[in-house]
Amino acid sequence: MVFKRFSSKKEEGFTLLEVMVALSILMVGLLGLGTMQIASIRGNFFASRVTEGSALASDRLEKLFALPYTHADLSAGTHADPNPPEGRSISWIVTENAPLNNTKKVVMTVSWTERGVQKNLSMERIISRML
Amino acid sequence: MKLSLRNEQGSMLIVVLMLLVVLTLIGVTATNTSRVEIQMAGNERFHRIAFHLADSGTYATPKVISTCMDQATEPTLAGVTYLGTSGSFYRELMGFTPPDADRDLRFVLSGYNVDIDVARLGQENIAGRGSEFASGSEGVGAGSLGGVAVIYEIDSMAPGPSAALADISAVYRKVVGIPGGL
Repeated sequence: MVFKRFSSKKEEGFTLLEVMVALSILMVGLLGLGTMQIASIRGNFFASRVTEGSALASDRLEKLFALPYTHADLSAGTHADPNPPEGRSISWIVTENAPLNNTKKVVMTVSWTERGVQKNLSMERIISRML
Repeated sequence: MKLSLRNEQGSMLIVVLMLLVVLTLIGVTATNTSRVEIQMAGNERFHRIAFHLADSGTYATPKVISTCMDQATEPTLAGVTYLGTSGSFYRELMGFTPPDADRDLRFVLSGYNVDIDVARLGQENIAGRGSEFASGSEGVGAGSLGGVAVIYEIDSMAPGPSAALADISAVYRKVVGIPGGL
C-alpha cells in the first residue's frame, strides 16, 4: 500500500523545472499587466485633471460674468489669478467692445503641467453691459 | 513516453495560463474604463465650450436688436453677420414679415459660428399708473407714461470641438424708446 502510493507513476508535487517555467511565464504576464494598470491609472488621472480644469474655467468665467461691467478684473488686457488652486494657473484676456459695443470678450485659460508637458484649456464668452 | 491525459504532468502551466487569462481580462477592463473616462472628460470640456459660446450669443443678440430698433435700420456692425438677405432681419424685428425658423445672425467666437434665430413673439403695452410717477419704479419703462415693449425669442446655437452642439433659448423684452437694459 505504502509502496504503491509513492510509486514513480503517480505525480505527487511538481518538478522544479515545471515550477520555474510556469513562474517565469506568470512573471512576464504580470509585468505586462502592471504596465497596463499604470497606463490606466495615468489615464484616469489625466481625465480627472481635465474634468476639474474645465469645471474651473467654466466657474471662473461665470464669476467674472457676475461682476460689475467696469470691475478691475474686467479691464482690457491680460489678467492672472494670484491664488489659483494647487498646481494650476489661471489667466484670462479681456477685449473691450468686442464683438459689439458695450460687450466684452473674455478668453479664460486654465493650464497645468503633467509629466513635464504643459496642458492648456481655454473657453471664451461674451459679457454684455446692462445700461 | 506515451501521451496520456490521465497524469497531471504540466498542470502547473495550465493553471498559470488560466490565471493569466483572468488577470488579462481585469487589465483590459481597467484600460477600457480609463479610455471611456478620458472620452467623458473631453466631452465634458467640449460641452462647456459650446455652452459658453451659445450663452454668449443670447447675451450679445439683444445689443443687435436694440441697435436695430433705436436706429430704425439694419446697421453694419463689425462683430456680427446678417445671414438673411439685406434688411430681412430688420423687417422680422419690426414684425413686417412673420418670424421664420431661419438663422438670422452670426457671431464668430473662437473660430466657431454661433448662429442665432430671432423671432418676434409679440408686444405689450406697459401701463402707466398714478402711484408710480417716476419712470423705472417697476423696471425700465413702467413709469407714469407707460410704454411699449416688444418680446423676442432668441435661439442661439453654437458648435464646439468634436461635433459638440449647444442650443440655448432666451426671451428678451425690448422697451421701445427708453435707453437701458441690455
